[in-house]
Amino acid sequence: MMESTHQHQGTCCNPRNPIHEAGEELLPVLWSSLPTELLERVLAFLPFPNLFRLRTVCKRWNSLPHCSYFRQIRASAPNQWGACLPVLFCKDAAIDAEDEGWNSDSWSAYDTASCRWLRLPPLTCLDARHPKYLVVGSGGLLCIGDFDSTENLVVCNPVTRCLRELPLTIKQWAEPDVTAMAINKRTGGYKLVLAGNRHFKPGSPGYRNTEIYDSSSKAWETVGDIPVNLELHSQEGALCNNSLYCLARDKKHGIWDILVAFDLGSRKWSTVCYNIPYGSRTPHVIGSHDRILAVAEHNRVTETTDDCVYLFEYDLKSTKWVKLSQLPNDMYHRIGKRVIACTVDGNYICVTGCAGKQWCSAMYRLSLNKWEQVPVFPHDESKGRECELLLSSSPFRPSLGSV
Amino acid sequence: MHFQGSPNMAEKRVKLISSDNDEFEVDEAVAFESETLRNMIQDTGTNVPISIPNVSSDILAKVLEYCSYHAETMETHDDKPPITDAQIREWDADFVDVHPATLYSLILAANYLNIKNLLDLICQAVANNIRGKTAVEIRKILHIQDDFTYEEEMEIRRETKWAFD
Repeated sequence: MMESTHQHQGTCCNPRNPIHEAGEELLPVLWSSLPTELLERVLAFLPFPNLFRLRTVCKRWNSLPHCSYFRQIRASAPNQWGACLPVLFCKDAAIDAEDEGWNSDSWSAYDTASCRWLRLPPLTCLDARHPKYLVVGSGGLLCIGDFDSTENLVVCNPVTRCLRELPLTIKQWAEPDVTAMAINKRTGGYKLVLAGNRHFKPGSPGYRNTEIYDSSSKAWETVGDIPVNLELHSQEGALCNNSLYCLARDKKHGIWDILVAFDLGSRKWSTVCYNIPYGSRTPHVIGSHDRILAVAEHNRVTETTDDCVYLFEYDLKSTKWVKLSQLPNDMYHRIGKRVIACTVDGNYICVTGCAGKQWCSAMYRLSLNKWEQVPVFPHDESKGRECELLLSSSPFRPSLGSV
Repeated sequence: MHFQGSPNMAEKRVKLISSDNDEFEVDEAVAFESETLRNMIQDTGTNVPISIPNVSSDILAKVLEYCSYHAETMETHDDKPPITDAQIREWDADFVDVHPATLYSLILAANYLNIKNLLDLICQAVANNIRGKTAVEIRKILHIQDDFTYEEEMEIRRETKWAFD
């Protein structure tokens, strides 16, 4: 081993014998000379919402979330901002009870990175002209529209406060059976899919029952047909393998819960599987990375035993559903013995029910094969006006992605 | 200082000279962890020692320790179980648990040598160090001038109030 005989410059101490104490302060004399480019790279590694707390440092830091160079580093950083689910919107008592909108100043979600509830940035990009009903969300983007029409759709990123008003859809949708949003992780582009048979007469000339908006072409397009005998009946669509999976009913033969898929590449619908894991209620089909999963509730035969919730995975090779896990009994009781919504973001699957007038959730981590309880939202009634909490079926993952 | 990897004679060795004229010899695979060194070696070959004028020997030793470990994690050995991601994470966490002054020199070296994973690791460590600090503390540490008017600052505080709840 060769030892250096030279005197080292500067304030560097021996790196192999650190004499520092834990939590030692950064030295102003040194760190203030860090090149701006490197400093901003460091800031891209700050967790959400810490980056936003430091916007008051100076004008440059304030503008960082809007700077494209910074967005690129943020997007390529290995520590993605945590998935936030479930998402709860506060419906202000001041808003008419008939109104399906929410108070867009107040929404929160459970952050899987910090394991606590986070306030999310108010949707100040929406003004009085804009609708206030969350249609669907994906990643860090929300698609907002009217409750009963697709006329005024907007896509916004609450974090960057950017908003895009979408052009009118080609078809006049009263309410699509399925609405889904797919974000391309690599390009940041997205597609919105509206599909359904219910409100249209099959067989009429030019009959198309699927409409796609592509953020790169900025236009709607009507495409592939759902077979006329099928009616989609799951509001939520599961996205994986560049396909949208959902459940359909064969009206003619009276068969329920058929798994169908719309391939976003070939733009064709196909039937995947007739044997959905059968429960007492229609299962929730969800997609995680390239896996198709279903959350199904089962009624047990005898009265002495409890009902339960199973998580299944669809094995593409054997075309069979395989049981992955069961929601522990105590958690099943805690969520009020009824799954109202299932949200998924990558590794996290959140099942939510309602017990004692409040939303209760359990979280399943795919990588750990483990269920855990989500603490109840700390709803502080004394702090603000009374409000009702609306549960979103979409997750949220804060990002600086463009609309 | 010599980093002895596996005694694979077929492996090319690369000589590196630090800013204070210490010579280091490493396997080519170790040097290739650095994009900068990879480009230099591809241009000039392994016969000529490569001088790294802005990285001192103690920091270069530390950087090469990182590169050796990570090059090794890429190799597969029949007789040894593969290194798990958890083990790598633990090793990385220990690696950046150093004096802030060392961290400072390391971030400059990782940036100059263009070692993306090391740069990411250090950026995360520094970000962890500043994440809990207030804007006032940050300005003091980084000698940043507060260039807002009172009204502007109040406006941003209103806008970012949600982040403090």
